[in-house]
Amino acid sequence: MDFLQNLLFGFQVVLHPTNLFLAFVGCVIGTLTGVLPGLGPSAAIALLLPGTFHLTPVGAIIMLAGIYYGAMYGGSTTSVLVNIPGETASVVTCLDGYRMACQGRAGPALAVCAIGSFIAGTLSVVGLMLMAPTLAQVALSFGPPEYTSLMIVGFVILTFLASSSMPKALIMAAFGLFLSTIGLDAVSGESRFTLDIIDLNDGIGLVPVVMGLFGISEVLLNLEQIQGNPEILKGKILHLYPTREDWAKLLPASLRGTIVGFFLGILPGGGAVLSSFVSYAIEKRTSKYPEKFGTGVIEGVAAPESANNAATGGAFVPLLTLGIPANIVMAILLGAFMIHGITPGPMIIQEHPDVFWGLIASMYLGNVMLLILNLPLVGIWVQLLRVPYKILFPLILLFCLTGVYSVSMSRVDILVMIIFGVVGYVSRKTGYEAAPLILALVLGGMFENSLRQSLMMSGGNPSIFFLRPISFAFMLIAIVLLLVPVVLRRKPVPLLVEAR
Amino acid sequence: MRRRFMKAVWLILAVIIVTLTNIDAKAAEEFPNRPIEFVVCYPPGGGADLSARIILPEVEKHIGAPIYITNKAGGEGTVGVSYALNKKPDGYTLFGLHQSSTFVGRVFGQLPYDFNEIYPISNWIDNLNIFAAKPNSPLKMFKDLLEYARQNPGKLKYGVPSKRTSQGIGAELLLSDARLDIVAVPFKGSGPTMTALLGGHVDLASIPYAMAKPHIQAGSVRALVVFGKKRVEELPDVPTAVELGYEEAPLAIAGAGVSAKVPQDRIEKLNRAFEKAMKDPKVLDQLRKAGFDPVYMDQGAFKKHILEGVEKVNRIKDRLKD
Repeated sequence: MDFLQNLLFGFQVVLHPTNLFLAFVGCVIGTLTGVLPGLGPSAAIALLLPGTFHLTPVGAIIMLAGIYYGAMYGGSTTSVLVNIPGETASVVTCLDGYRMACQGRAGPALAVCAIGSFIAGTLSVVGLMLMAPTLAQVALSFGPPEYTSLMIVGFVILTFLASSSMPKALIMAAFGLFLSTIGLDAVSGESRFTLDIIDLNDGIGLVPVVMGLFGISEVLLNLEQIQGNPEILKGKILHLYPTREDWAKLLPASLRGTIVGFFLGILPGGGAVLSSFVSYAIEKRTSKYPEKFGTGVIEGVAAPESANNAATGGAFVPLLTLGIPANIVMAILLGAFMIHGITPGPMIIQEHPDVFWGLIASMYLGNVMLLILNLPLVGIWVQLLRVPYKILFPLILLFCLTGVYSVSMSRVDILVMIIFGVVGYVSRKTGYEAAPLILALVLGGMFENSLRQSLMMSGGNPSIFFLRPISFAFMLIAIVLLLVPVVLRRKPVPLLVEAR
Repeated sequence: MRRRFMKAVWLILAVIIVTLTNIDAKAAEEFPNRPIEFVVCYPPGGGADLSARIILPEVEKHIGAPIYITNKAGGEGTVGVSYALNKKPDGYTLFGLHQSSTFVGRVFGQLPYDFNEIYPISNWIDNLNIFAAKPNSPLKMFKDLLEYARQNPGKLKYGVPSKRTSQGIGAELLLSDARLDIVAVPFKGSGPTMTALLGGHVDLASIPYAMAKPHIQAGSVRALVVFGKKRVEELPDVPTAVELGYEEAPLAIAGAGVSAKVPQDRIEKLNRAFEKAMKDPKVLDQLRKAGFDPVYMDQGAFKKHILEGVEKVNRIKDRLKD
């Protein structure tokens, strides 16, 4: 009953006209930053942070949080329409989302993104509300050894991403791992592979690499065919909203994505990108038709899009209950709390109930607003496919350039994006996929750090990964996942098919 | 139709000419006559950014020109400084100064610019760092730590946000002065360090007091010692390293600097504006509310402090090497 009372109190706070308006503004800005490739929620929140100094603490937090989860709704739009992720967390959505658009099913794909996001967003707020303090303890039980083992599971999952050639996928992953070693080594403080460019000291940025591999290379590929194919879509747009069959596939996939996303979101450093990859891999692995993934399967859109939204809810857990930001956006939000004299942490629920419950209530309302906002937009976005490519591609390039520059105002980032545009173009022409590279880049840095930290903790003894229960469980999962296909492959698969 | 078009062209030309002559006329006037750029060398939302955003609006009033903030993060604060130093030294580009972009970077030869090209204007805040013990640790006081660590060398582990931060330097200095063998486990930033401490994955951690504050108040984490010589107001029972007879660690700094090539009269003006802002009780109050410990140093004191930092880090640099 306490929960209900507190939640009612929260709604009282949010339904104040100013706060309601601020939540709406946050959601709209979030959707826009999500749609624009490269420009992410962190840049938008940072820009708007000084403007919130004069608002009440609750109002400021409600608006800034709205930008964050709103961006996850918008991020999928360009993934589906032009095969360019609006957000790094929407990279996986390209795989099947864009294929759906090519088949004239852009409408359902976008609607699936919005609905999946809504389901995940709402459920993750429920989780945040009911279990935040408990979940914080779970997050704390993850030390360096647990992270190491989790990353190993991630690497195994990476092999599921390969849709054509496994060796080619592994080569791309190895390249991604190499990229993750560039920059200052966190343990020794020495710089590695930076070519004395100080901008590279912090490593190769994920956003410029993603924008290059997907955005720039996509434009280059399309330019080749521009004469014969002035529009992305040649056929008809079939229908705008999902059919009943679509719904039957969408709901379970979305629920699975939500669970994966929420729990990975709680872990600092994990977050939205990782969870979208993992949930896609799970869908593909458990599907009855894994071979169809990558050709426009609805589960391949619903699961990752739900996962990245659920991760945003999860990411609030360590921030609100421990005062520890799980990612850069949360770090900026922590700053927003601090500037208003509120220290998030174990005491926030007692000391500032209006902020805590107000934020929770605003996230319920915000998700409803975003659904109402995004579903009608589907129709408008789909019309964008009719825009001739010669008008569309300069615009895409412009957005990629400004978006990448906005991340850290670095010209080196633009250079990195262009280089990876060419890399992406060549690799796609030769059948090397970009997704394993991205996942390896995300995993590599975390894996290296936690591996070295674990070994420092144990004095160099690798048994630390097997003696701690959570870490041991992950190791077991990794081994099982690796062995299952090997064992199954012994069966004469083609024969079985014929026998049927 | 055509006449209308010509009219529009003339109008645009006129506007351009007026603006250009205006710029020329203004340029002859006194400093500052156009907006000043302040380069924050860390991402938005962090301590460096927040303190600047609290102080600068007040400086703006005293200097008489708008100040806008550019965030240029990277290279542990050096990317922003070298970006600012590459601009015309006319006093219109200021930048944030921190230990890694001044004395620590200097000692380890990691500055992509000449150390003497920096002119420190004023320091704003002090970051107090503490050595804290994990939840439910049997180590209640610094004395317990001394005893246990001497009897069990190499057994305890402490988390630290990279060895070359003020937390890393402070801990290393203390441990080597006290002849304690405690293994350092470096994390990426103070957030992950704090998480590892809360989860009990390390026994101790060297962290900014501001980060640990909510957990100390909630009673889960315990502060054993404060680095430096100033006690934390809210923790009257926790001794400082200096009180215990150890060397004072170089302070973490956060302040403003400008190119040393800027004309002296302009530097003076900037100086006075910062001084006025940093003596405004409203600014001090807002800084405290956001969890900072405001400590104002003028150009002379700030410079002396940085040079002392060089000397101190030089003395212990071999211990920080690996």
